[in-house]
Amino acid sequence: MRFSIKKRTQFIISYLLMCLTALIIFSSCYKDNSDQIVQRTTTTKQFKLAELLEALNLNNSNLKETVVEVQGVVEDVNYLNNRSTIILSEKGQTDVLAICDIQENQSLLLENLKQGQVIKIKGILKGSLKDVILLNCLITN
Amino acid sequence: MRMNKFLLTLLLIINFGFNEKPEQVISRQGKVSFFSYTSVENIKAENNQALSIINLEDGSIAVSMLMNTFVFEKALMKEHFNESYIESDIYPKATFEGRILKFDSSIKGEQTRIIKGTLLMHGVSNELEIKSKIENNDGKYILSGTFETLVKDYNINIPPLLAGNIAKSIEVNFKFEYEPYEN
Repeated sequence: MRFSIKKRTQFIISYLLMCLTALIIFSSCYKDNSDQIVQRTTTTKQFKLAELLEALNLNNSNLKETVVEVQGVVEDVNYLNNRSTIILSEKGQTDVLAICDIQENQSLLLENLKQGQVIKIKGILKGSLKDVILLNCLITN
Repeated sequence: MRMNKFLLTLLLIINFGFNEKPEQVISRQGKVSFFSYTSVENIKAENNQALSIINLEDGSIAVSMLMNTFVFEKALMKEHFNESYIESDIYPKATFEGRILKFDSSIKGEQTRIIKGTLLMHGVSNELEIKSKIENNDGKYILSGTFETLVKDYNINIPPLLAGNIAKSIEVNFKFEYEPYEN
């Protein structure tokens, strides 16, 4: 009798553990993985900021939602709305900007950035309003 | 005499230069978030790249945002939002054009005003009146507020199977921090 209670408890515990594992796997599968997509993507189209804007103006919709690498001049680094953002400009053209929302693991690199520094950023190209918008960005160079 | 005239002109230019207020202010990283509360699940998404320009002279305001820049906690929510509900391929932007009623840009500190205008989303335009708080901290303007909007007003089709997961009325919050804009 005692053995059967022990066995039943073991069964319930292992059943609960299985459910918990399944739940963890299920929720991790459906968590937004855009950061990982950018990290894993090694071959990307490379642009200077002005070229990217021109490509978007030509309604090149193939580029949207893809990982691209863009080169520009650091205009500003800010932490508005608890997000880390780099504003890039084109050399000699401060009216052409890119707003790059940076991944959380880039904080050390962000601290060392200087205004006017030329850098490359890799991220998911979302499109443009007045400025080009990239999300889930990584500083590559 | 000629020298005096020159000095007077110079003084006027300097005076105008220093007292000149910007006519327009811009916010490139406006925050717009929405919440859907149901007993089945809560859905929250945030857009931190909304663009807005205010004309300080007449209080006219314009907002534009890319629908695919909303960030969701779960990939599946983002997929459903962009592909099934908002159809961001077909309707990539949402825009708002309106006027801040009785807006006085010279008032320092806080003022609560009604913004009246048209929200265009998913190809459907709706007139809105939104109560907003405007802060003026030495020429740095912050606009914030909350409003509720109905999903059915924007011709968004939700399959009956998922109807319980999405609230009929969505709460929208916004906050824009502006800086002088010269175009």
